[in-house]
Amino acid sequence: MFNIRTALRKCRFGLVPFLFSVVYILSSPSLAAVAMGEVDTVDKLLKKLSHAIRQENYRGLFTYEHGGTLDTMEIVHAVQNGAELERLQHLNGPPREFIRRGRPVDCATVSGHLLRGALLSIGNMAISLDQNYHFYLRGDDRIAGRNAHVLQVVPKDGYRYGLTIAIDKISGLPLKSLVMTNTQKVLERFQFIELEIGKTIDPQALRPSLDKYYEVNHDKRENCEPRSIMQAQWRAVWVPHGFVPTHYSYAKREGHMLNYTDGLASFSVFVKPLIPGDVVKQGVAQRGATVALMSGLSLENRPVEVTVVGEIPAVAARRVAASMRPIQ
Amino acid sequence: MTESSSDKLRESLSALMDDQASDMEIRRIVKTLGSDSQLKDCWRRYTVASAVLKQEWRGGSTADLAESICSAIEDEPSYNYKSDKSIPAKTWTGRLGQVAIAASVAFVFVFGVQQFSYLEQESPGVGALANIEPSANLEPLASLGSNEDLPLNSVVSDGLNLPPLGVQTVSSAGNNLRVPQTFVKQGQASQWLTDPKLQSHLSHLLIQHAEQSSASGGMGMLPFARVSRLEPAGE
Repeated sequence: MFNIRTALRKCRFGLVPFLFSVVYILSSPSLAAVAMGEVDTVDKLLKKLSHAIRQENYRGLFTYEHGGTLDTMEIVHAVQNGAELERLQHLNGPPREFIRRGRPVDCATVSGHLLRGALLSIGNMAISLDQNYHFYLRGDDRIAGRNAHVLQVVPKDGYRYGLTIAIDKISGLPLKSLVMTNTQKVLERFQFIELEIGKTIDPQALRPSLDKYYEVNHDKRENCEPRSIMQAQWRAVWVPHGFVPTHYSYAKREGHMLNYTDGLASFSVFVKPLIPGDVVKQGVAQRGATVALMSGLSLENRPVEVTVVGEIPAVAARRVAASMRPIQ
Repeated sequence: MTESSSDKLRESLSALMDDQASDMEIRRIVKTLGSDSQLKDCWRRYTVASAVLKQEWRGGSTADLAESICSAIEDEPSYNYKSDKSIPAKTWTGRLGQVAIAASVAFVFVFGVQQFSYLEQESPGVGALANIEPSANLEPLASLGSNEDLPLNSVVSDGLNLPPLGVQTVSSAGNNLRVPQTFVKQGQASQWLTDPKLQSHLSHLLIQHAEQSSASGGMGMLPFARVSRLEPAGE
C-alpha cells in the first residue's frame, strides 16, 4: 500500500516540508456530478477508470492524433500473479516498443489516489482532484464498437488543459481522450479502434517483437514508496495548484529530474548544471499537448539549464522553470 | 430666483410624468437633470408616485434601481453544481438531453475542424466547438491565447516543432546569463527545426517524462504513445 508515513521518518531535509510531509488521507470527497440522480456517478466512473487500467486484461489498437499527424499503436496489458505486464508498440513510423514488467498491481500511484477521490495532504495543504477541475457528464458515445460515457473535464485555472474522456460503460477503460485548451482547441486525441477486454492474453503479445525496445524500469519503485524525492537537490518553488512531486532522480545526461502530477496532467523538470563555454538553449517547442520549454537560470553564479516537459500550457511551464531553486 | 426656477422645473417634471410637458420643458428638464441631484430625487419620487397611482409599483425600496437589480442577481440561486446541491431537477434534466445530442455531434465536428484547421493554419471554427457547453462558472483563465504558446503549424516532421531558438553562451563569470523574459515566437522559418542534436535531446527528455508520467499517472502506458523516436541504447 502507498504509505508515505514511513517515507516521512526517513526525511532528512526539514527545509522543504512541502515536498516530504506527504500524509495520505483516505477520504473521498464526492466529485459532484452534473445532474440530479447522477450524483456520485463521476466519482464512480473515475474510480472504475483507475482500477480498470491497472487490473483488466486488454489488448487493442488505437490512434494518436496531434497537429495533423496520425499515429497508430497497439497496447497490451495483462495481470499475472499480481503483477502487470504491458507492451505498447508504434505501428507506423520508426519502430518503437515499450515494455513494462512486474509492477505490482496494487502499487498505488499518486494519480491513482487522486482519481479515486482521495485527499492528499502536502505540507499544510490538502489536495484533491476537484479543487482543480470541474467534471461534467456529457452523454454517450460509441467507440471501437463499444458504448461509452463521455466525461468532460474542465480546468479551474489556466495552468492546465481540459480533457474529454470517453469511458467504456462495461469495463471502465478510457476509449477516447482529447486534450483541449481553454478555447476548445484540440491539441491531441487518443482513440481506440479495436479493443478486446477481459480475455486471456497470448504471452507472445507481451514479449518484445523488436530487437531494440525500451524496458520501462521500476527498480526504484519496488515498494511503491516515493523515497526518491527525499534526495531531491532542486525543487520548484512554484507549481500550479494541486501538482504534487512524485519522483526525483539524477543522471549525467539530463541532470536533475523532478516529476509532478495533479492526478490528470503531469510534467517533468530537468535542471542541468552548466559549465563556462556551454551553450544555453532557450525556446518553446510543442508537440500535441506536450510542451518542451528550455530556459537558462543563473542563481548565485550557478548557471543551469532548465527544461520543462509536460502536458501543461506553456504559461505554466514558463513559470515553473523560473521558480526552480536548489535545496541547500 | 433659483427657488422659483426649481419650482418651475418640478412642475415641468410632474407634467412630464403625465405626458403633458411641452418640448421646451422637456429640454430644460433634460439639461438640468444631469447636474441637479435634488431634481433627480424629485424625479425618483414622482416616478414612484406615478407608478403607485397607476398600480404598477410592486413595493420595495426606492433606492437606486441599479443597486436593487444587483442584489436581486446575487440572491438568485447560482448554478455552480459544486456548492449548491439544490439545483432544481427539472431545469437540469431538461438540459441534459440536449447536451447529449450536442455532444455526439460535437465530436464529429471536432475531428473535421481539427483537420482543416491544421491545413489552413487557423483556429477551429468557434461554431462547431460551441456545442461543447462550457460551464457558466468557468473562471477567466490566464492568457493562453497568444500564438506563441500553441504553434500548430503544418510541419510534418515527426519531431518537435521548434521555433528558432535563442542561444547564449555561459561566460566564466556566470553573469551574462539572464532569465529570458520573452520566448521566441512560432511562425518564423526555422533552421533549428531539423537540428538533429536538439531533436534527439528533446526526444530523450520526452521519454524520461513519459516514463515517469506512466509510472505515477493514471493512464497506464498511454504516455509512451507520445514518444516520437527512440534513441539507440547508449547514445
